[in-house]
Amino acid sequence: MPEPVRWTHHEPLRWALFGAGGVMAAWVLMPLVVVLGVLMPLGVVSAEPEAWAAAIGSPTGRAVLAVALPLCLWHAAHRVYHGLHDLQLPRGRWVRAAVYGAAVVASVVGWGWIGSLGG
Amino acid sequence: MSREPYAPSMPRAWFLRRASERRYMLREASSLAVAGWSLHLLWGVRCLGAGPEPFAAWLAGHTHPVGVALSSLSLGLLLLHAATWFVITPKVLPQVVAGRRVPALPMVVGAWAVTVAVTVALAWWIGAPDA
Repeated sequence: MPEPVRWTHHEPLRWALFGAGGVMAAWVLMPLVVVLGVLMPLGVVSAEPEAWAAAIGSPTGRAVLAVALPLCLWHAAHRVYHGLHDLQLPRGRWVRAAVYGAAVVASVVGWGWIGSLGG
Repeated sequence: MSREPYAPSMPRAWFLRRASERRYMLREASSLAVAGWSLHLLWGVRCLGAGPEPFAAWLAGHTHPVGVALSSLSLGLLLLHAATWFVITPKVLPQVVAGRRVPALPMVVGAWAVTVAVTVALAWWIGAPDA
């Protein structure tokens, strides 16, 4: 008889969110850096605030940002936390709570800002 | 008489020794660009909510030389992130589906195609500058 699957530790969940964030960083964040950070300064794409405000404030824009950015923040927190070990820095329970907690707090604050655009 | 505890010695900058380890640490450092840009974009949303002037100032920051330099640096790190991430993707997904091996190359190409498609779609959405 197979052993019942038991929830023994949280690392698989943390890794799943990390993985989702890695995909969002490549599929959503990088295009934003290319268009907003490179093509706009080069004059290829409009720098009119109205055009950008319409896109960011649209339901699609807000939904994409609300999903992608918190996952990206979690992804970064996961890599930073594991990077502490590579740099021989302390990484106990409280450091872990601070690193992942910062991503969660920033996400909740960000959701508030995105939500307030809906008016 | 106490015995000396075993203290493994490892220089703190161990990752500088080999090219593969330098690439590894640079890849991990790409997360700083990911975090920085995510926070920057959330701040842009806050500026948009605060009114037209703060949002215009936030947007204009991208054309400042410092903004351009930070964006270029971020893009380099994000390219490294995407390139390494898409190589890992076929390895962490099921490699055999319905008894057949799933080839890795189409997955890597497909993942890049999504990035390119989103970039083109976003540029299209914002539109070209007025002549």
